[in-house]
Amino acid sequence: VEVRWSEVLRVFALAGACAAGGAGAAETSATFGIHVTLNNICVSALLSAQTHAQVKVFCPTGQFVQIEAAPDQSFLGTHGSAFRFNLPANALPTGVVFTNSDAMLGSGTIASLRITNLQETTVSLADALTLPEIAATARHPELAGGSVTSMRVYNTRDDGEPVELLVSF
Amino acid sequence: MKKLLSILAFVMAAAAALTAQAAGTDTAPVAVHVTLTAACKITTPPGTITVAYTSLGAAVNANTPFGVTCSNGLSYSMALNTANANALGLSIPLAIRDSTDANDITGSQTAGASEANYIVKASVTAGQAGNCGTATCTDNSISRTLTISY
Repeated sequence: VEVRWSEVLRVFALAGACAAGGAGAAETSATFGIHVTLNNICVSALLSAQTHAQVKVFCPTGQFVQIEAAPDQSFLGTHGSAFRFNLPANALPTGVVFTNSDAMLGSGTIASLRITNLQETTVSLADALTLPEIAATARHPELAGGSVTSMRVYNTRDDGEPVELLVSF
Repeated sequence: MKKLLSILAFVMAAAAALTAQAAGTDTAPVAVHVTLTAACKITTPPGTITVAYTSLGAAVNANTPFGVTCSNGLSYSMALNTANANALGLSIPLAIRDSTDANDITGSQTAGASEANYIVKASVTAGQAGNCGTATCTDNSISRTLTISY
């Protein structure tokens, strides 16, 4: 039998070419980026329900971060937990803050915060907070962020009677 | 005059010879060998996936589209070098899905005549705490590679 070596070699070459052209022989690729942002501030449904406000906490630990009035709801003002208040500018008019009797009204931990109407004792606190002459004043510099263990709002017209805080934090 | 006549006779004889040659037909086949090297290309590269997740919050999904064009009929497969984008203590699996986000795409695909569109989808399941000691943490350092094999 005469072997045609040239034909044999041609068959092997063809087989090799087919194998090289099979799946996975060639590739093309592209690299892309992934940006991840993790927000650690959560709204606590439990604390928000307890306080009738929107309470934000540090998600992993539940540590209090901020409290603010819930949309279209009043802020009751009396709470049993230690809250850190982040008061935006003009949140509390200077005129309604009585600071002389409470040296703790500054940044840091304070035991109580008393808000009184010093300018108009004949009107209710709720009305006083909306008076144009005090609403336009700048935020009291001592009312910076700090931890508040309790908060009561007094109506100076009816001494000692807590009133509902109507300001929006 | 005699010389002119002889030139004219020569020209006419040559023309007759050419006419006689054109009347015959002779053909030869010409072989045309075409070699098409099949290939794939990522014609629409994937962009950046931006994942914003709130610790212990609800599930979040984000994706980026990409497109692959191959020789019509060519089989190809797609893979990511790492099938997750874990960052900040969050498990973020990545998947290649169809452009409508209906199904995962795995195994061999057969190319059509036009670009095939897909997405790379990143998913963060609900309730993960993550690692972040401040109010907000960001990791923009992650990159992954999409490879088309054919």
